[in-house]
Amino acid sequence: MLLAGLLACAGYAGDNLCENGSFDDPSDPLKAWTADYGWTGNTFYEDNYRRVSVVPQEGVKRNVLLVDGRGTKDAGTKVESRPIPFDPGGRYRCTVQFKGGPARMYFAGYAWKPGVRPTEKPEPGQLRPVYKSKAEIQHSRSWRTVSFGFPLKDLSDLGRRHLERVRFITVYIWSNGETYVDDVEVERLN
Amino acid sequence: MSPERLTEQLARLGGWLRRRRAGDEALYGLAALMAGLWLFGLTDLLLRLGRAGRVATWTLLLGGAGAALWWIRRTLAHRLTPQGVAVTVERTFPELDNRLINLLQFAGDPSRDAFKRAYVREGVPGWERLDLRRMANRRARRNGLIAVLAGAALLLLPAAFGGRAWATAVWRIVNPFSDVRPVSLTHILSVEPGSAAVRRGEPLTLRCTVRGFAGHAVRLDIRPADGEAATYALGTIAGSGEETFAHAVPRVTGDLKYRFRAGDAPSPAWYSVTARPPPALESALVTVRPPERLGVEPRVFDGLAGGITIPRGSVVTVDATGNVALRALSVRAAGGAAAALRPADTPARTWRGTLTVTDGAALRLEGESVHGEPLRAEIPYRLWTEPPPEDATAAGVRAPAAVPEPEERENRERAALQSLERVIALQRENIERTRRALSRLPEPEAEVWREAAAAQRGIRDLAGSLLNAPPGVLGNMAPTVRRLCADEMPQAAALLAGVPEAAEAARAASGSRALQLQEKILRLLTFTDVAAAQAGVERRVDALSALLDALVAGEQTVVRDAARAAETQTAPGAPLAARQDDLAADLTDFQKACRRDAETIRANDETFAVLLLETADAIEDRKIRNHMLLAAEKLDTGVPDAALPHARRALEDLETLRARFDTVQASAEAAKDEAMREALAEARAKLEKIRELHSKALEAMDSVREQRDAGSEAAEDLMEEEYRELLRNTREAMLEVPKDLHIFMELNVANELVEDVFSIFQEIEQQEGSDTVDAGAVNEQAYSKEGMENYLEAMEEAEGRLDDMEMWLGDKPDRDKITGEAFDREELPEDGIALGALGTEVEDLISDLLEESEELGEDAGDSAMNFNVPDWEAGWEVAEGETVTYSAKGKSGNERPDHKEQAGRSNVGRQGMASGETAAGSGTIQEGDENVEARRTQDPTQDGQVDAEGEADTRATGGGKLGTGKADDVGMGGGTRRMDATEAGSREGMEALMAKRADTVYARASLQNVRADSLKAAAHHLRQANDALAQGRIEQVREHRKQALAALRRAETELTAGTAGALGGQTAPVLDDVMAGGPEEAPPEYRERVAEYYKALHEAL
Repeated sequence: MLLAGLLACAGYAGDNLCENGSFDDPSDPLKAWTADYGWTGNTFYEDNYRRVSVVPQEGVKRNVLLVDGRGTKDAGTKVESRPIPFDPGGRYRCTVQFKGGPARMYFAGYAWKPGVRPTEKPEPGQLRPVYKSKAEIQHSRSWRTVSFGFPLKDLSDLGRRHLERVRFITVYIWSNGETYVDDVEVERLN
Repeated sequence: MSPERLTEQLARLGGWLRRRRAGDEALYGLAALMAGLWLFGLTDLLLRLGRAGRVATWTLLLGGAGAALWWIRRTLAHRLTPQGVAVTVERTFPELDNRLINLLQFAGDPSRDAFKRAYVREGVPGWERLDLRRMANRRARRNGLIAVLAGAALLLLPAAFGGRAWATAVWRIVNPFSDVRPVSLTHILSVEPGSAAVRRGEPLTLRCTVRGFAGHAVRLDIRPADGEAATYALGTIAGSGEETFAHAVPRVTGDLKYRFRAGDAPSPAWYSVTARPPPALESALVTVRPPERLGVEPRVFDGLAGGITIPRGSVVTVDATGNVALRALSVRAAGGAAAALRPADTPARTWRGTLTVTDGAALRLEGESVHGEPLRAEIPYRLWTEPPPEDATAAGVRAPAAVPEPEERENRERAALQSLERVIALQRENIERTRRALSRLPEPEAEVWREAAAAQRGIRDLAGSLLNAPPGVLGNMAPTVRRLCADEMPQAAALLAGVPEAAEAARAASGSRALQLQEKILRLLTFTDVAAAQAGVERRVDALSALLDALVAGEQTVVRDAARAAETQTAPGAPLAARQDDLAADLTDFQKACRRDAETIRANDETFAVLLLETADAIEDRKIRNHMLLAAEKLDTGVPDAALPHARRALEDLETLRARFDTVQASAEAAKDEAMREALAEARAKLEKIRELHSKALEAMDSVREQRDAGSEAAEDLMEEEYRELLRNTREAMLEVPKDLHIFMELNVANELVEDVFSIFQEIEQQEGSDTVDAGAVNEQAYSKEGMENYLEAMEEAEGRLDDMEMWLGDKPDRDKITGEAFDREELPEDGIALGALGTEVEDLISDLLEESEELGEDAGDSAMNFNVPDWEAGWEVAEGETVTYSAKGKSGNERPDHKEQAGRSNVGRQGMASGETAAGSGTIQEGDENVEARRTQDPTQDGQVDAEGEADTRATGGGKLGTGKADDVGMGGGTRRMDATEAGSREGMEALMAKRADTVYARASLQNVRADSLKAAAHHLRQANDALAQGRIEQVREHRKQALAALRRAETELTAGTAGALGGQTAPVLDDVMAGGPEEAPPEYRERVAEYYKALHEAL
């Protein structure tokens, strides 16, 4: 029974829904992450991708995502994970290793843009933001584990109406400082 | 058979029965032990028990075996009486009919009854023929044997699958003290450095050698004592012999534990790494024994605190304590041989030695820690060559009152600054070196990178040596230098060293990162350098200023006391004369200090240097000291009247000097202010210049446009190109001006709608306690229009839509109360506010309303303002501010709008008092200001549709609203009759239009005696649908429309069936335009909507 219990516990551990959350992909360290927002036409983020990189080492960690928002005035720099299909009944939690900042991290909820035919893997520009989870605001000089969930348990009618439209979620990171992120994990809690 | 012999036989039988029973119990016990061994062996196989776990299980097994032995022994020791055995026999052989037990009892009866004797004599018939082996419990023996066999099978069966692993596990349980490790596919052969102590700040490489199964992952767990635990995937085993995996920790900052995990390698051990600080002195006591001829008592100084004065020829004893155990330590003073210190304790942390000091300025200690690391320290001192003062006390050597000590400090500071400049120069060189190396990538230039890394380490060492200097030398520079030495410099060195080893694709990133770090270091160092120099100047000037103030204050006291003595004709006494004399001496010191400091600060501040020199000269020219000495003499001779003029003259001169000091200091501040004003004026001039350039370009473009008809498109293109070039050059030349606000296009003024408005909901958890904040927390800000003239210009100019930055909603209510002095209407642009193009889609941001105290909500409300801008670069937290925009970028947010007139353009948002314009093509009014004051202005209306959400309470307000007040009965219509429902575009308009058309057709049909009652019913249902929609009873709308459509179909049937018989056979014209012709009959601008309406009706049914 003990063995069965142990095996059950091990089996219950959730899968990481975030692809390449450790930025270790040998072909492209930024695989499955969106840093190029040129398609939006927003001049603040035209060269956003130049400020997002994976550095070989930062402190005790290797292959770490650097979101460098310094020198961008107030616009900051942003990066987000590849859209993850959202189950309306699901609750999700994201855990990241974090250093630097200041930064805001949250789940961004997306719906299909009007007129776009739904596909399995949406391209940037085919989705429209409709939801932002409670932002985790961080500033730390040392590595620390940060976690944030989505959606809130006690959601208002207004929030629920918006949530009903969400089809995909992403892990969204914005920083106007020097932010390092590693080991991004998204798990479904229920 | 005699009773005695029978008893003897029964005794033997009883012994046999005991042994037999004990044998059965032994079988059961053995089976239980084997089962326990199997269970614990399986546990070890799966869980790989540690030694403690194995000892525990072994103890359990041992306990079980002991219990079994005790049980068996107890059975063997329990002797049976003949009667007991007889009962057992009788039970086994009931045919004896109790004769055996009776015989035993009668034989023991002393009454010698004849019957009993005869009974005994007769004996037990058939006793000799009994097969006593039948008394053995064969079932128990069989069960015991089965249990033993099952236990043996349990032990042997896993061996068939686990083989050596099972045997090892069983053996580890049987002998818990054995060091035999569990069998695994992968083995960790060695771990380096194991448990070790390393120098803090040094890099550390953790390495393990493994051999095992291909594909097994090797991981490293690190638990820093001061941080989060982390796990690193080091790779997978290829399966070819021994393999080594390593992980480099760039800088060990504190103690840590680590372990390697490799595949199924058992029980990875945790190793400890202790961060050992670099060798340094914890304390250094310097005992100075001056030569006896000086007659000065010995004194003990704290060597690390400084301020040591050593008379020449003193015998100095040094007691130095290191932060780690030392292998050797020696001390040397300039001009003397090194004296070896001896350990004074165990483990050799405190060392003591003596030397004679005859020269030099510092005791230099050199040693080596037990780890072989060098220790170098310096204890500065001032060599005292003058004879001691007469009042030298027994407390120790008194520091002379002269000024060499400050000189010494200045020397140290100067030396520190020079070293810092050297560090800066080296850092600059290394940045250049790194840039060159980066430019050569991807060609392998490993040597260049190694040189850069070595140079960076050298820079760090040099900076570190500054930190090792006596405290206070670096002053406020110390924290920055310390941080750089601890963080950025080693990181930069590690990154530079790692570039050659990095993957080719990652070299550029790693090198760039190193370059960024070096640039950061240089920035901090240069800032520190300048700040330190400036701070030094200010510190000296402040000190001299304070000294001058003290002189003035002292002289004022002397004048006051002398005047009082003169008035009262009393002798002032010696103390007053002494004070005056001391002030004269202090003035001399002040004068010297001025001359000395003037030279020191000349390099950094010429103005103050001149002031100090002039002050020193003035003291001499005005003979202030002479006046003071004369006053002292007169006071000493008891003539205050004669002393008073001299003292007053000295005071006047001192106050004059102080006034000059103050003037120069104030002028320095004024110069800073002036510089700031100039910078602002310059920025304004630049802006003006850009504006003029753009205006000229605009004029040029206009002139080109005028010539367009003459076929000068090429010239227009050329002009546009030139303008773009001009714009680009201007941007590059003046980066601080990111945008110019000119545009070259026809502007659309109002009546422009954004059809695609989508809202984003943001989850907010209100900051705890912010809902009960009272009005006392309100932060009041006021803006005068004098400071806002730039808005007037901005109102006239607009360019293409400016982009937005990241935006979010706050988690606490707005506490800012902003009051602005509004521009007069005449001051505003005659042509109104320039309006830029709206976006094709607009993003709204909304969340649930934050709770706030009523008091705060009222008191934190802003005033109405007209600091307008056509557009702005919106970003960050959404809040009401002092600026009004016409770019429709406002967000619904999560706060109620302030109770004030809101100008500008916005989307629908929350209910409030608006004088501006709603730009959204559609939208929902959300809950907002609950006290909207109804009023009506003559602003035009425009297309669009507004719905009232939930508790939204709409009332008539100013501004050109879309949707024309159809939110509800008392909504934007202001409580009066709703405006014409046929007005552009609205859904109500469609319903009303259709109802009206149905009435018309019904009337026409009736006039022609065509029976079309269903048309009347259809019009009725359409009106009902219209009302339901306007009142928000959405659920009824569909039903009414359904009925309307059914009525229309009936009407169609009625109309196509022909006219009533009263017309005498004449056929009435078919009214075929009610359904099919509806869209065509509508005004052209509504045809598409009418068609959509019918389409929707059909789809709904």
